[in-house]
Amino acid sequence: MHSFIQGVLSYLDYVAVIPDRAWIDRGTGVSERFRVLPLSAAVLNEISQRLPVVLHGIGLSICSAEIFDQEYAHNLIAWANRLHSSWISEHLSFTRVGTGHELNAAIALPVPYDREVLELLVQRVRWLTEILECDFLLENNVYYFRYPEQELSEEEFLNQLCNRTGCNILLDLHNLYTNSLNHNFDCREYLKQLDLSRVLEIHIAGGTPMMGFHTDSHTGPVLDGVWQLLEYTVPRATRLRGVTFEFHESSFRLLGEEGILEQVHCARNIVNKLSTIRNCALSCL
Amino acid sequence: MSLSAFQRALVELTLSPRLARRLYGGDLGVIDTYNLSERERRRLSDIVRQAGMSVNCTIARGNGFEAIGDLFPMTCVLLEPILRDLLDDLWEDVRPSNYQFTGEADAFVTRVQQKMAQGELSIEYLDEIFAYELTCLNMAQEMRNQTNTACEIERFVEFRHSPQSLLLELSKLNSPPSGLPQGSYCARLILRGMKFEVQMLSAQPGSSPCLLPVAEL
Repeated sequence: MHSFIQGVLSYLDYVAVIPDRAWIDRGTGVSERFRVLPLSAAVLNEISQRLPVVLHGIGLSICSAEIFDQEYAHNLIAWANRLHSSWISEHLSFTRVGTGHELNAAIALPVPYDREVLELLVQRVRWLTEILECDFLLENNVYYFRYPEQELSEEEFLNQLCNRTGCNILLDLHNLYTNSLNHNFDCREYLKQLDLSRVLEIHIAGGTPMMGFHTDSHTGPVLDGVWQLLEYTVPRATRLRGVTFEFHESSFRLLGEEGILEQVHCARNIVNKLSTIRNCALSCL
Repeated sequence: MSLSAFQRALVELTLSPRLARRLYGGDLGVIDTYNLSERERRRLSDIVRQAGMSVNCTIARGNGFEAIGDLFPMTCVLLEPILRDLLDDLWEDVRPSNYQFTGEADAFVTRVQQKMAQGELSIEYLDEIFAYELTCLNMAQEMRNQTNTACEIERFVEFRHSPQSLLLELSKLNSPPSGLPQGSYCARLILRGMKFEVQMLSAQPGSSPCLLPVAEL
């Protein structure tokens, strides 16, 4: 996998990386909490010397009510500075609960779009954006159940959060597509309501059916419905800086090297046709 | 405080389908212990009735066990008849405690070792393959901590059955044929950077040493 990524760098405009792969997090309160994995760090350093890198974190759990892990955030920021990351993104979700001995949900759980959660996030995102030297993006989450009685729609929630904090959006079109299939709503209507001028990065990916649902497995090629959403969104996202194809390592055999590059090629064709940006990238989860 | 309690309850329900089923069945005692608002109680009762909650729980479990499948694929093939029960037990006993899932593979190793020591796992080839994959894991962990990325790590693993026959079949996630002849075999494992190489050093009389396909971490 690493040799594949290194071999195709010349074909890419940037690389989206999960920085958490380069360290072992030994837990809050432990001295030398983040133990760097030299080999992984060396790969990241090498990539960053050849191409721009953007960081896509998985461990902040920014929506956890009782945890705001500033130690983790500082580590993330240090890596962003070291790799000259153009932006950092995180998920609009939570995985971690509990102080002291934490419990992890093992899946990015959605938050209810209520004003209480919005206020919580506004404080946290403001804190982050003040100390970050690059942009901070939040990604729309995938969810398999829906909260009843939400006070805001996801679009309203994201718009308000961006307006009040200056943060931006990582629009995951496969997440949106997945949610629309599973919960029967119109993606275009969602996109009309979302402030697309806040979208700096777009994720595209493949998914698989499971138990009567479509899942965000990041396996296989990008689906037609997602390509159509990309064509719709790219000309409307006026500050868009990059489109990233996400794929799970297990998808490597399924798609093969050519199949993976084909997804980037298709994304690039759409971007070239419909936007002034030229950035397409890969992210392996 | 209420939002924290709500999130904890949702995580507990995600990690324990048994708990979610109790709430689905109307046992509100499941969420009585949390300090929840009426709306939060209604939300949780609604969520466990949605089909998507089953998907949510299944994906969480899959994520938690992903490392086991990645690091012990061949062991899992051999354990197939009892794998589901073994993972069910493990999921009940070992709750994920960090986002990197560093504890799940260790817990799996300990559980398999315990069961083997107690004679509960009399599965053909299992001890050899488990030892082989455990060695690979240890080498990979050692390599991850190396500062010299060009270094080479070497280990030897003994087999009672032809590693070539076992590994080639299991690498395709197929069970090897039963009743392979016993012998004394030794495989040399080499890890260079992120590339694994397996060499069979001693083979059955009359056959020549072979090189198994290179794998990449």
